Amino acid sequence: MASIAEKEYDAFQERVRRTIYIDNLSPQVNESVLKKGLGQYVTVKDVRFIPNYSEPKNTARCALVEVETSEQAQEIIKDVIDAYPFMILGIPRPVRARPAEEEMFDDRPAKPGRRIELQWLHPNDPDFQVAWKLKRLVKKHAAEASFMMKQQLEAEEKLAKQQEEMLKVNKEKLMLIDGVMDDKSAFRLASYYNVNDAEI
Amino acid sequence: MVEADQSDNVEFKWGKKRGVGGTKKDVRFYESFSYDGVEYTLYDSVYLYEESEPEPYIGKLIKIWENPDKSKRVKILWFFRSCEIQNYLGSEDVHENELFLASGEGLGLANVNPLEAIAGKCNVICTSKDERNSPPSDEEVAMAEFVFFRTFDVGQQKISDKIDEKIAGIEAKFMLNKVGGLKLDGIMKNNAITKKDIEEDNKNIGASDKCVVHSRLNDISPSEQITLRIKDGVDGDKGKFSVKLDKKVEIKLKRPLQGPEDGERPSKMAKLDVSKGKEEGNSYATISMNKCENEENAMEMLGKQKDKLKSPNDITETSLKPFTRKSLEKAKLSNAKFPNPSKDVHDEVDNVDYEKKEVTRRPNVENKSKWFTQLPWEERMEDAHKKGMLVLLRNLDPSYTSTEVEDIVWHGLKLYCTAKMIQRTAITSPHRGEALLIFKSKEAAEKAVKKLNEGCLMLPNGRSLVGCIGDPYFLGDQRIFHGHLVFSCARHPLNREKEAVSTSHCSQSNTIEYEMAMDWCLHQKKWDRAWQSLYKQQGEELRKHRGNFKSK
Repeated sequence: MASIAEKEYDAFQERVRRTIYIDNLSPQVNESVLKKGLGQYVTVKDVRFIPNYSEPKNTARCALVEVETSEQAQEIIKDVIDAYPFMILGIPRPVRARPAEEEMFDDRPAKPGRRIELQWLHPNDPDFQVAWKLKRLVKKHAAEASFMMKQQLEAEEKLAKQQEEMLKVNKEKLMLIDGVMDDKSAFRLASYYNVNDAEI
Repeated sequence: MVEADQSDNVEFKWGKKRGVGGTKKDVRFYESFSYDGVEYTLYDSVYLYEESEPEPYIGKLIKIWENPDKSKRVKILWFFRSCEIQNYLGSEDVHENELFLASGEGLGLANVNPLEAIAGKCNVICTSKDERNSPPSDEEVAMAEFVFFRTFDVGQQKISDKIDEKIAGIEAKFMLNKVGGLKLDGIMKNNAITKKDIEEDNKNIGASDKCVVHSRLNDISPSEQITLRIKDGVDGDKGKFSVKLDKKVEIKLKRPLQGPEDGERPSKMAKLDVSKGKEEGNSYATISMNKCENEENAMEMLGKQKDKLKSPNDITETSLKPFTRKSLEKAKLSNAKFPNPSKDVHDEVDNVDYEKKEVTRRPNVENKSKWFTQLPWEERMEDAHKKGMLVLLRNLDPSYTSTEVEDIVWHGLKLYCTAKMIQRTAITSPHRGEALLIFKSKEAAEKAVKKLNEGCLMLPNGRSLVGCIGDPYFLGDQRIFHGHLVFSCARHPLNREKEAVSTSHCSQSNTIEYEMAMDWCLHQKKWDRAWQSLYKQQGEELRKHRGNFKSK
C-alpha cells in the first residue's frame, strides 16, 4: 500500500516541478488565452486556475501552468517572464511567475507515511493557556495579512490611477505634437527659426 | 435467457437465470445482470444511492429477481460504515475504510430495493482471518475501496470478528472473497462445518423437526432452495401461507431422509418451520416480498422470534426495512437501515476526550464513489454559506490535504464535513494553512466553531486549531482588476490595444508601456518584500510562542 502511495506522490512531485505558478493575472484571462500566450514558447499541457476564496474579489488571479518538462518550466520563468515585463490580455501590468509549490495544488495526494496526532488540551493543562494565546496570535496574524492585502490592493489601485493619468497626459502631449504637425505650425516655426524641415 | 429491457433508457440486460418462482412461475430469478454497462453478479458489493444521504450505502446483492410486472428487484445485505454504528463501537479501533457486514437478525440486516437504486459496483475485500476466506493479496487490499472482517449483529447490536455460518440465509462463503473458479452451484455442497457448530445450532434451535428439514435440504442445489423460498414468499403474499408451507414440507419430505449428524447445517428454512405457525410465515413472506401492509405486526413477530432464536447462526431472512410506496415510485433506495446512531454523536460531543489520538482515515470515503457527480465546490460552498454550514479552519499545517483535514475534523470533533484546503498562492501565509469546511447542518458548524473556540485542539508542531464561521469571497461576478489600461491614441504606434488584448507579449523597452510595466514590477517586488517580512515576523512570533509549550 505504501509503495503505491509513494509512487503516486513521486509522480505528483514530478508534476509540481513541471509546473509554474503565474499570478497578477487579469480575471479575463482564461485557459485558452494562457495557453496561447505561453504557447509561443513552450507546449502547455495543462492550465488550472487557483480559486480565490479568502481574499477580496479584486485581487489578481493566479494559475498553475503545467508544461512538458521541468527544464522548460525553469526556462520560461527565467528567460521569458522574468526577463521582460510579460503581459497577458492587457497592458501594462505584467504577470509574474515562479516555480509551483506542492501546496498550490488542489488535488495533491497526502504525504505518504505521515502520522497526524490530535489532542484536546484539558483546561487545567499548563499548555492550555499557551495554546489559547496561540489561537489569538493566529487570528491576529490572519488579520494582519488581510490588512496587508487591503493595503496592497489600494496601492495597486493608486498605481493604476496614476498610470492612467500619466497616459492621459502623454496622450495629450502626443496629440499636441500631432496637432502642431498637422496645422503646419511646426513648419512655420521651423522657417522662422531657420531650422531644417527634415529635423522635425 | 437474455431479455432486453424496454422500460428503461439505461442499458440493461439480464444475465444467467437461476430459476422461477411464484404461483404462476412468473417471478424470475437471476444470477447476474448488466446495468448501465456494468456487469453485476450475485454477491457483488454495490453502492446504493439515496438522494437525501450524502454518502451512498454499500451492500451485497444476495438476490436478484424480476416480478411479474417487470419490476426488477434486488435484495441487499447491508454493510455498515463505522459512523453508522458508532454508538456500538465503543473503544474498538476502526481501520481505515473498514465496513461491517450486517449479521444476526433484526432491523437493518437486509432490504429489498429496486434494482435501479444501484449506483455502481463497490470493491469490498474481506480481510477476515477466517479459514473459509481466501486471504486477499496485499495488492488487492490496496486496490480495495473498502475492507471488512467484522460483522455487526443488528439484533444484539454487537461487533464480532466471527463471520456467521449464514447471514440472511446466505452462506458465509458468498460473503467472503470469491475464489477463482468457484461456481455458485458448487459451493453449497462443499461446506466444511464442524460438528460443534451443528450441535450448537441444534441446541439453540431446539426444534427437532427443523433439524430433519435441514438435513433434507442438504442436497438441494441453491437454485432449488431459492425457488422454494420465493414460492413461499409469493404465495404468502396472497395470504395462503399455511397451505403453501405445508406444501413446502411435502417437498422436503420427498427428499431422502438423513440424520442430523450427516453434516446438516442451519438453513433459512428453519425459520419457516411449520410449527411457527401462520403468522410468522406471514411476516416473513410479507416482508420479503416487500409489501409491508402489516409491517408493525411483522416487526413485532420478528422481535418475538428473536427471543426464541438466540444463536448467531440462526439468521432469519428479514428485510425489515420495508420500503414505502413513495420510494418505490421514485425508484430510489428506501433505506432507513438502522436507527442512525451517527445522529446521536452530536449529543455526545461534549464529553471531550483529552487523550492523544492518531488521525487515521476516517471511516467514510464519500468522494471515492464516482457514480454520482457532486456539484462544483463553488456552488456547494455558496449554498453552505447561505445556510450557515461553512466553517473556516485556521492554523493547519499548509501541507495537509483536504482529505486529511476531513479526517482531522472527524477524529477531533466527531463531525462529518467536506473540506477544501485553500490552495497556497504567492501571498498566503506559509505558516498556517486554511481550509473551508462544509458541515451537514448549521448546528454542526456552530458546534464545531464553539468547540474550537472553547477548547484547544492541538495538532502536531504545537498547532492549535482555530475555527470561525466562513465568509469567503465568492467568484462569479465581475471583478475589478487594476493595472490594465486602454491605450486609445488613435494615430500613434501606441495604438496596439487590440493586439495587446488578444495576445500576450513582451514589451519593448522604448515604449511608454514598458515604463509603466516597470512601475508594476517595482510594485510587485515591493509588496513581495512586504509579505515576506510580514510572514517572517509572524513566523518568528509563532516560533517564540510555541517555545512556551511545556510538553513539547
